[in-house]
Amino acid sequence: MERIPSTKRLRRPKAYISAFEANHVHLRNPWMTVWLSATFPGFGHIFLGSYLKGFLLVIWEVIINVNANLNTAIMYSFTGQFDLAMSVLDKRWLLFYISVFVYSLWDAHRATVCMNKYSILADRNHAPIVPVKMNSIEFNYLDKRQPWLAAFWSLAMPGLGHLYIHRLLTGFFILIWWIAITYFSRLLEAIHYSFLGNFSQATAIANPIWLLFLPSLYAFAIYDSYVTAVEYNKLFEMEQADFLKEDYQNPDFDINDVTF
Amino acid sequence: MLVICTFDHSLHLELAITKLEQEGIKKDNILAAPLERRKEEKKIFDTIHHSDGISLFDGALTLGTVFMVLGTIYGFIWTWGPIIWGLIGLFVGTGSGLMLDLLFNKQKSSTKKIGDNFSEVVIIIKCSEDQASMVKQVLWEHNSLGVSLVGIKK
Repeated sequence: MERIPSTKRLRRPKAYISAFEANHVHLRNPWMTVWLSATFPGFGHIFLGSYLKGFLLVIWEVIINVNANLNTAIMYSFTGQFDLAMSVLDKRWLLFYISVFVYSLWDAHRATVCMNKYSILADRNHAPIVPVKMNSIEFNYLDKRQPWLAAFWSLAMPGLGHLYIHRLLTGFFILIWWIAITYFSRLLEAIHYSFLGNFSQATAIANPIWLLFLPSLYAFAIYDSYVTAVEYNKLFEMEQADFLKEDYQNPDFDINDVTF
Repeated sequence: MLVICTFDHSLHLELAITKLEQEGIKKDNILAAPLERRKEEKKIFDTIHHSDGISLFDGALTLGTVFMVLGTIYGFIWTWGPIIWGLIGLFVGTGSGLMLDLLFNKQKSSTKKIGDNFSEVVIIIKCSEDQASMVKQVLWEHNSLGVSLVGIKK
């Protein structure tokens, strides 16, 4: 049977599958993308599959936050050391933060609502899906994968869960940031001292500017890989169901006819 | 002879069908009926993932992040340091988020939830009586969930 070779000709496509990545529209809770953007501007957009915007916002966040000493100021503010918080903030950078931060929340919500409409339209139109793509260096296919396994690999090392479900752009991006932030925050040394019971040394060596990036990144990697695994499974089922309906529902199928 | 069987959506299903065709069952004698699941009306706003199990993860990871950040911050002034408190925060937050979601979902779901044991595709194969055991064998080898042979009058 001839399948549609690419999604380019479709007006309301459900998914675009390349050898590196399957990007598709599915229903998402807009407030969840807003929340992801709040934990780290850009994560909401990466969750939506809007990579260039997401990468740009994440890089912007890291540069402004580090230069303005924002994370250190947050740490001091939460622990009641307000004078220290005031003194570490760099006013040359700080005000950059506000408008782009708010924009990332607003745009994440707006884009999710819009993409949800596209998702419903694609479902109603039964947009065909291409289940396999390969090129000379990669191979991508829809398959049933275990969401909990994706979450587990993200827990072991952020980025691996995305490699498992073959969302390579997110996987590489998270992996690279995780290594960079771990290195600058001196996380591994702090873990080492913590497990030896030397807590004062762990506290002294940990760098709050970088360390406070890690919880958001860690949780996002787990959440995104899990949810995407679930949605890829649904995409697989949807594609297979459409295929079966088209190829294996002969209108002349008669159970009383005994000629084979 | 009719062979009726059920499958989950999987590559095994397609392997089984193509194997049967290879063994001489005509394509027109295979009927596949993917079942639609009972689900709630799709909504654009609000809790759209209410029915598919993801909502359990939303609350867990949301609170997990919040508590992990707080643990890391206060770890700088508490005895055990930012790493241990960060991890404690992650587990406490994720655990309590999960509990809240479970509690919330229990109150909200009045209709029965579909369990994991749900056959997704029903397949009906028409074949001669001497083919039946071969068909059955192929189906079992490809992880069919259940197979039934039905004799039909000639």
